Amino acid sequence: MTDADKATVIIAVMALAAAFCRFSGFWLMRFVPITPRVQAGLSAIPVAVMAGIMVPAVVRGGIPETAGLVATVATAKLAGNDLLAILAGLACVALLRQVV
Amino acid sequence: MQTPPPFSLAGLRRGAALALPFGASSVVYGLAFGALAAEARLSLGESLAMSALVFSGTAQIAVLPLWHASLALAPIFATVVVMNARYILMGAALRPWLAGLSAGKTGLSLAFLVDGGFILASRRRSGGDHDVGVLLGAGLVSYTGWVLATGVGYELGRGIGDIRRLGLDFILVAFCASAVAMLWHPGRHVVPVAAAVVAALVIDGLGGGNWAIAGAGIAGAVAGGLMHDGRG
Repeated sequence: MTDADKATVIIAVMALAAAFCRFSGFWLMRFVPITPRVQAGLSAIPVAVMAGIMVPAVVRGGIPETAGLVATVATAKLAGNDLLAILAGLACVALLRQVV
Repeated sequence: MQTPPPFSLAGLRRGAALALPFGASSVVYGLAFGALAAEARLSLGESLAMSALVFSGTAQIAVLPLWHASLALAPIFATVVVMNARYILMGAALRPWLAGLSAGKTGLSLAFLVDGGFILASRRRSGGDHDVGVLLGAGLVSYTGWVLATGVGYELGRGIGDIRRLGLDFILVAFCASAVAMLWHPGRHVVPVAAAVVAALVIDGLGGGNWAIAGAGIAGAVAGGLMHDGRG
């Protein structure tokens, strides 16, 4: 098998794995009746996933990441604008990483 | 059969426009992946094909070290599934919303499922915008940025510098923080988010960092389901 063939196989396997993840959850829920309780659980997933993205980043980071998180949340609450909030968070992280 | 949710071109445009802030993070990660892929001696075509077909930054970067090892397909498959387990959860969460859409529209929306798009669409939906086009539009912007940036990063290689110094690796985290701040509903969210945070801390602490997001999602879903009183 040439290197190019090998690459094609690896990429195909990776594509299959990614597609499996993107489609299987939706498909599996066919077999679960959507009761109010199940609905409540599903609707909690977005914020829970966001928490799961933020926690390791902040724990592994440190002062810049923690401060960046606070700056983002504060700006979001005060200005009510996503873009401003994200920029404030980025600026805070970038600045503090220069000094810490 | 319930009535299908709206799925319009206007929604698609809305999603695309709103996705620009986190679409920028796809570009940043695409640049980084392209540079790393060049370093791992993938061809430009292979790098682009991988980004176009897999569309998962963390998984693709994780697979690069395995690239020139023997053809170990099982570990590669497992790595990609672990890195993307969160999408299984997101897909499940999308079921009640997408129910009734045609298979084609559903398939398209799921094929371009990405963290930022899911978060953006969830936020829009809680604000009353039920158009599934928003989800797809946001996914497409992120996808386009990701694939194009892979090529640019491949050509520029190390010339792009350290994204960490500029804080650019923080974009997705900031996007989540902003979304949580705007969505925050204490009565509904305190318990599931507390469960999610604990799960993420425990999993990350045990060294299973790649499972942290999926674990947090499962913990939050279970907590959200349990705290429901079972009535309509």
